[in-house]
Amino acid sequence: MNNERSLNDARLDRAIDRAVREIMQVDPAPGLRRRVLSRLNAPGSPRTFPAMRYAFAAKAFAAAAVVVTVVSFALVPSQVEPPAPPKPPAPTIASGVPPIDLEAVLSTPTAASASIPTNSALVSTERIAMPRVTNIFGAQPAGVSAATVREPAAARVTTETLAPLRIVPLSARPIVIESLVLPALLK
Amino acid sequence: MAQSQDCVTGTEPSAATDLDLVRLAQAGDVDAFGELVERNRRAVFRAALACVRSPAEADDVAQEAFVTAYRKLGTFRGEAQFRTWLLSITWRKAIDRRKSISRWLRMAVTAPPADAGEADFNQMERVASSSRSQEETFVDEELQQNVTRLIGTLPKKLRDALLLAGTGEHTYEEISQMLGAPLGTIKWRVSEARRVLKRKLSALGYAYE
Repeated sequence: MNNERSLNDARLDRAIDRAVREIMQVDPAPGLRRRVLSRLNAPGSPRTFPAMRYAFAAKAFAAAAVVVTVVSFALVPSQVEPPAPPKPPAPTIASGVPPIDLEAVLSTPTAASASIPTNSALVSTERIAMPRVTNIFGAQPAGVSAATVREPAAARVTTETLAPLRIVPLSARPIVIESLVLPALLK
Repeated sequence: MAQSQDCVTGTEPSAATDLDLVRLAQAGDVDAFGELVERNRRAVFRAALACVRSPAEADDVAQEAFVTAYRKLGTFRGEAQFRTWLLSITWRKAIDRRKSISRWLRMAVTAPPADAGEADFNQMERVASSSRSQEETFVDEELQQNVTRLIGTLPKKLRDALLLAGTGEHTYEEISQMLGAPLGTIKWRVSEARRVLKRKLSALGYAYE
């Protein structure tokens, strides 16, 4: 039995050796030397132009940097607010002129606003219920105040009644300039 | 080393050593490098073949290895043998190629060969025309096919060692340096590969005939 097994082992060993030999004992195709030398002598070989490799790498890096920059600008929302339109100068009211109810002035239709043409077809006569506004300052006092008194129509100030600007001096006293004395520093 | 001195093309072998040719090539002598290619082409090709298992792929790998060796020739200090250094480059190139091939093959559908039936028929014809015992010849052919197929199923480390040892071009020391494994490990891998193959063949019914 052992003899039979060793004979079988030897047979399998021979089969393995033969299979490996058939796989491996292949010669390279003729002309390998010529093919290698032609690749060595080919123009554009990295050995001949080593700097070109770095040039390509630098170009690729620069292109990638540009792409990253553009994408980052495109994805990040703009943090800068657009410049606000310049505010109109506040109206200067000369002293001595009675206070003007600006709210009333602004609510008065002017000639300019009255002249704006309106499309009557688009204007609806239906009343639109407005939401009830709660007075955030609390209950309205029972007393009379400037804010609650409605002025008569005749007393309303229109833009035509504004007085021209007038410069009023702050003080009539002349400014006295006194000489500066520094006794301690002279010692 | 004596094998590397052979000139397989029939041209007269140069008397210069590999190191002499390396020095000449380092000085820019392309013909000297061509002589190195000629001396080592078979060892390089078969090392690549052991890894990639395809003659066409092995030829590509051999070319790449020689070109890479030429470009890196300035780094060769002569501390090791040129052939060993060249084979190490070859093995690295072959491993890279094998990884790319395996990646490609993973994507491909492995279909059984369409001409399997035809191969069986041809084999039967050969058996019928042989002067040997028909049964003996048929069993040997079948065994050979099974061994070849089973070699492909071995783990890569075992298969690489077995095939490199079977090339007839590489010593165990060279295989050890090529694969970066101790000499004892390489010998064990070859032995283990044979043991695994025999066990698998036994499972197929070849052990106790």
